[in-house]
Amino acid sequence: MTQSSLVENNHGSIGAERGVLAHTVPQDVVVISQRQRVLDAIADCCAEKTYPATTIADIVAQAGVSRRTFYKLFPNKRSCFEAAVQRFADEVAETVEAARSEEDPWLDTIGKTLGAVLAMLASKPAFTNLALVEAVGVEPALIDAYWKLVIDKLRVPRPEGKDDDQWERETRVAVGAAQVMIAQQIAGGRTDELTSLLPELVYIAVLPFVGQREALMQARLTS
Amino acid sequence: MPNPRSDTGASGPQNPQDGRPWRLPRGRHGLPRETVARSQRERLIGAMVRVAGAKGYSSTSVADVLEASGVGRATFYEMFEDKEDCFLAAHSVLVDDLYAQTTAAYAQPGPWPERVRNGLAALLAWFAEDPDIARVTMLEIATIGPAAQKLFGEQFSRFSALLEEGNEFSDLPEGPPNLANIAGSTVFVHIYEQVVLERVGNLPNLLPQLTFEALFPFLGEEAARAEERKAQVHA
Repeated sequence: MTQSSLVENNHGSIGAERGVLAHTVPQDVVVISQRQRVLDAIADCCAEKTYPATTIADIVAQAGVSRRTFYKLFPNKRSCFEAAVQRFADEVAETVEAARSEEDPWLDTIGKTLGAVLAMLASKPAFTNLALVEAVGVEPALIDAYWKLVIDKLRVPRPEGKDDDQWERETRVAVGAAQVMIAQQIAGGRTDELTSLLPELVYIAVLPFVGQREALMQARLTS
Repeated sequence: MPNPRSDTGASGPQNPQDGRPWRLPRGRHGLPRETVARSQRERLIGAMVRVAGAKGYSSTSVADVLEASGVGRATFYEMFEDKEDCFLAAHSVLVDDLYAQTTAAYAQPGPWPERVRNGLAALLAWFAEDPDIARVTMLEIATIGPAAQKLFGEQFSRFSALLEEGNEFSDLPEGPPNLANIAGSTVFVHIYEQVVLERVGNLPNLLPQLTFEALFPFLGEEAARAEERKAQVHA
């Protein structure tokens, strides 16, 4: 009997949920591992009272796990936070991978890709808040690291005539500007409206390749 | 231009390490000089800025603020509900001062691109003057919580809204994307980076580049480069 792929390997903690065959799981039951629950919990706690004010007691209460279980998963709060940011980055990267097309030129599908990312962020307000807003207070360098990952996934080629350093600087600024716009909407409690930023993101993404007017045109077409 | 943060009223760079309590800007907010209560509130706010700027908001206690300001605990709690309340008040005063300086420079008559350059110069000079204040304004606010984040978002909008005037000068039809939002966010990122790197003294050197970044979405490459060159000449 094989374990369902719904069950995640949660690193051998005792009492892990047993796998069941997919077809025996009721439609509305999702099997979530303890690790997943803890990561969800830290995101929820941070959204409510910020990272500095969040305690492990808060996290385990929210997750419905014991302290012992927490410490089997993570040595401390900070490590749990970083894992949550990493999971966020992985989900963004997966979303990009899924939306991208191997056949079509990236410029043709960038709107769809960015739209998918914004929709994903909008569907997970606590995680987006943790990764884009809370992380700023915890460790600004964290954000740099995972945005590099996303840029890599988007597979944006380097425009002609730009050297590596210049391009990296420009990319970093462009991604930073996108992050500011997203963070501002989240801070204003408008996470569900994130998809409205698609024109701005498309403009920023295509600008180095197609020039001002064309970038505006493409941005406008997405709205 | 008078430096509101100098005790003597003289203009010029202030030494942030000189340990003098930072004085709130006077005259721009209608704060009367005589009222004792006002003066105590100012001292508390000034102390909060100094302490939080030096050791970070989370490490700052009300006791720290009381010690640095010489104001009593009872008085603190008459004026503020808690540490967060005091910090948010302090942050608002700072941002209002920044906004006042920026808009005053921006309002000086001239062609729009020049006005943007002047506004940016004032903005950069403000951050460059005092690293503790730059840190409190840009970084510490993020650690407070949802209330602070909302406030920060609103404050940011005030600044990016200044650039919306650019839509009148652009020959492109108005509509999405929001160019003022993009330009403002780009400028923000550059300032933020220097604050994080603890290099706010470098900010005035970024004036030409940021002039370009702010104007490019509205005016295009050629015109924005011309303004960038003008900013280099003025530096």
